[in-house]
Amino acid sequence: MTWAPITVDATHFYLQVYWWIIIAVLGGLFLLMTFVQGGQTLFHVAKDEMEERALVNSLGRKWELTFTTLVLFGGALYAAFPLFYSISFGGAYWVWMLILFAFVLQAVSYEYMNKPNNLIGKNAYKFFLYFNGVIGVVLFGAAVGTFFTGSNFSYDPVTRILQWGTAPDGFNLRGLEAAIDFKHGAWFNLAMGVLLFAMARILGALWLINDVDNNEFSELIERLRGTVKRCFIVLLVALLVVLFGLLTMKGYAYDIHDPTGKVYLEDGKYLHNLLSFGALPLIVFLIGLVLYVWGVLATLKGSNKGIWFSGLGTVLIGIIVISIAGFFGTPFYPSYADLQSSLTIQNSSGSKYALMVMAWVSVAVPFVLGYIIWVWYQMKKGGPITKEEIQDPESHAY
Amino acid sequence: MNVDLTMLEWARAQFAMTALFHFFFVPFTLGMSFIVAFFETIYVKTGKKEWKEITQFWQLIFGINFALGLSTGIIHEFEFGTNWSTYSWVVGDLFGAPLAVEGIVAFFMEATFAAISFFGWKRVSKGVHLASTWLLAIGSNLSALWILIANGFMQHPSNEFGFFNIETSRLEMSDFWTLIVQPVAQVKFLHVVTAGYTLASIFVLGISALYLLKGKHKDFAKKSAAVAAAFGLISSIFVAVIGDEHAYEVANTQPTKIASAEGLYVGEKGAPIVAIGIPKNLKATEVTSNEEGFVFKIELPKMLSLLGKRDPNAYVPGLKDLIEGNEEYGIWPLSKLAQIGKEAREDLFKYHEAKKAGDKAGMEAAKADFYKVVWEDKEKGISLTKADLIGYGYFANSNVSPDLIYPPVPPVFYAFHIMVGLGFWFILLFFMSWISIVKGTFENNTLVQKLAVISVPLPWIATSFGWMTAEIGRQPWTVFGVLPTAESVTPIALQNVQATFFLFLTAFVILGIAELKILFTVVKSGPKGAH
Amino acid sequence: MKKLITLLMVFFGSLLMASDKLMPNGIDPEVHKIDTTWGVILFFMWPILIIVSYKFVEFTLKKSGLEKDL
Repeated sequence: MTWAPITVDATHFYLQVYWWIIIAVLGGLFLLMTFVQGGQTLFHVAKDEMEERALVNSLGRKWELTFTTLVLFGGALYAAFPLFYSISFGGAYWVWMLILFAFVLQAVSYEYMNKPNNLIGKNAYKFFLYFNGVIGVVLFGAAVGTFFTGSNFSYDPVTRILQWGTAPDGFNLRGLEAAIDFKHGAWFNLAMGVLLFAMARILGALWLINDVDNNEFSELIERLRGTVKRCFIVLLVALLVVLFGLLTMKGYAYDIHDPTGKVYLEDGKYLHNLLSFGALPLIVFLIGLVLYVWGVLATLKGSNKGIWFSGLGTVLIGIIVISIAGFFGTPFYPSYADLQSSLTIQNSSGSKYALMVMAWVSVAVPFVLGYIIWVWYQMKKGGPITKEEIQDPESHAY
Repeated sequence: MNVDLTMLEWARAQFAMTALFHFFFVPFTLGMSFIVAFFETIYVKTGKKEWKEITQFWQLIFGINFALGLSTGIIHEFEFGTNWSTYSWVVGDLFGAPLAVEGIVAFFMEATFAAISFFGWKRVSKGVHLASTWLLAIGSNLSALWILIANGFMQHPSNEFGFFNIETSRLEMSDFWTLIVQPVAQVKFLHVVTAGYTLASIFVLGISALYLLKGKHKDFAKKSAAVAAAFGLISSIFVAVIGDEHAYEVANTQPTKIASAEGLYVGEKGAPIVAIGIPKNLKATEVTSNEEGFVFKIELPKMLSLLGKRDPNAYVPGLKDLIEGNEEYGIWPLSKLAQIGKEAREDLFKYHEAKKAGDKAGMEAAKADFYKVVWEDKEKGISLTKADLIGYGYFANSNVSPDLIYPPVPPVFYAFHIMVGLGFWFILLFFMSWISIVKGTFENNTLVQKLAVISVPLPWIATSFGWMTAEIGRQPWTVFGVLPTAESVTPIALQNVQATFFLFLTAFVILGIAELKILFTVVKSGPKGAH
Repeated sequence: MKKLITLLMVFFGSLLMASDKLMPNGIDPEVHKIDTTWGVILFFMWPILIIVSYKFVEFTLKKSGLEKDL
């Protein structure tokens, strides 16, 4: 089924670009905030009750922000690219349902795990947190992977009928095929999942090294440094696979000026994207990578400020990965079952009016970011988390 | 589109289950956040330690609920995509915007300032902390505002802020401001938040009364009860007053909902309200008089006309009129609306066929017919085009009975009436409590204390039934008059929906029991042993 | 309290009356025509309600003698 770009209206196009930038920034910020998920998979590093509570209390003050960023990431995609929301969520049903489930379980775990009479016991809530940290992040990474490898769907824009699993040589597990269908890039999706997971875990450790009192918990900090080292090796391997894929894969492409919006395959598409715009995406990507590695190396050498470098690096990497998936005439949600069903920022967006209204609303974003940073600073200036604070009956400690 | 009806029912059940579970926690958060803010304000103004203790105890209880409310909220955002993808496709342009605004202006406010309010007692100044507690309350209430604006659109999708675009085959926004401030949405917002205030006040009043009955934490309980009774009295009165305005909006925008809620089959002038009754489950097409509809009933004459139309002798259409039409009042038979909707659908296909064939003239012709005005009131400046009635095309299918145009009468009737009845009881309860508190006799008035304790679960019943009245009452539509529920659902195999249904059911049962156990433990140990 | 109720009565009393003729789908044309002013007024009832409630809470505490220092 063909589906021409809705419009060749320039204003509408710029709004679509603007919204894809916002999505990319939100995606980058979400990747940064997955330090909570990463940190959740490090409970076994704590050797006693007090160390564990230090972990819970440090992460427990930030999980809501991660959660909210995910909700807004979803909400912005819904408002700006409703067709993507409909097709990806309705089609890759199990991927999103499992991500969702992982986050639902996480939300209550912090609040309930150290309270008396919590029905299923502390270890069950700990398991929920691991589940969220591993499954939630890996699946999210794999879902991002399908932005490059494509999904198995076709649809009819007039009758609004979505068909999932129409490729003759593909599987249909309502989204989960992305992890097993190696003919259609499962290796890339999985590598992306592992990459995100390793990134999140390192960020989690870096955050804890920064946020927990370094003197009182010196042994925990040392063990966390060891974790960073081990995860960094996993990260490098996954990163090599992902980069290899990005640079060599045939990419999906269309011409933004073509009124029929015909989608075709192009060799080295994502490499071309990185080199577009005076290689700006590549430069930013490399800056992000260097910052990330710098943060890790500084931490291994004994600094506790690594999170700020690696965190900023993560945001930049995230922004570029999502940008090259959607800009420069690239369908960001391609279909390998039917090339012409692929979703581009042009054919899946909201109407010009809605995007314009939302663009005005987005003026509030810097203000929101401003008060988040202010609050973060207010909470942090009192110093790291200490044993005294954890045991203080008046501090709502977990 | 051929929809697996069994799957449709499971998808609806799943959404209803998650929505109701979510709605156990939401009104509590809405009200409790302000009650905590009140307590803290009093603490900051008086500087007395006992008020800080009171604040922190209720904040602890607030926190236990807040987590579950937040986590169950995200389910809906995802479910709109996973289970209702066609819905998201068709109305995403209108519906997505308020959701995104909700994220930007409300959720972050809620999450960010919650962090200070919960964990910042010793990390920030008194003033900053107090401001954060207030901002948390305002933020959580604002998130209710935006989701109810989205819901208001589903209840009354006026063509004054949206239209069906033939080119993209979906609804698109044309006026955001009108969408935000349409009275249907604003009234809903006020009704829901004040119901939340009432609910939280009853909870605080009931727990305080429990302590007094047991002779524990007396000073704590008396002060908490006084604040709760005062807030509850104002809220419960306001919820009734605004509920009346809400009913007026519903009566005039969703005639099938109000007729089902009152079991009104045949429209009449000076229509009564059934105060108490047992409705039968009948088909409107087979009923000939309103007497048949009930096993027994006690009526308040002319009240429905008065409340619904603000005129005791006004005409209120019944379910039968909405199917068979009523020429005197300008209502068309459903078959005529369905025929127009069917023509709109045909135009849509013709347009896209012509587009594929490159036939410009064909496209223009189809488009002209699609947007043809079929009804208008020049004086008031409003009109309906074929496109506005496209949803009714669903009823042109021969296998869709016209009796599906309205929701089942008994559940809507009971939900609505029990909610209203409980609402009046709450006013009475708060009034009695408030009087005895001001007179200083509450401490020894065991009757009022017992009534308050027994009433603790009742507001949850009231809010759930209110929600059911609104959502079951809107059936068979997801977007009233525009998008039938059967055409909103994701085409997916039944087993997937069943599996996720039980996945969530299991999680909800476990988490729900866990939260109650934790809550009871905290309540039992009382303010001193709270932390 | 009385003032609040009177104020609300005035608000609701000023509402439009329903029409004799309905739209083809049974909706009242008066309500279909969206009254944005009324919507805005409704919204601002919310902060007013919160302020009035808080004042009433203080009044109750003082009157009952539970907290004199407000």
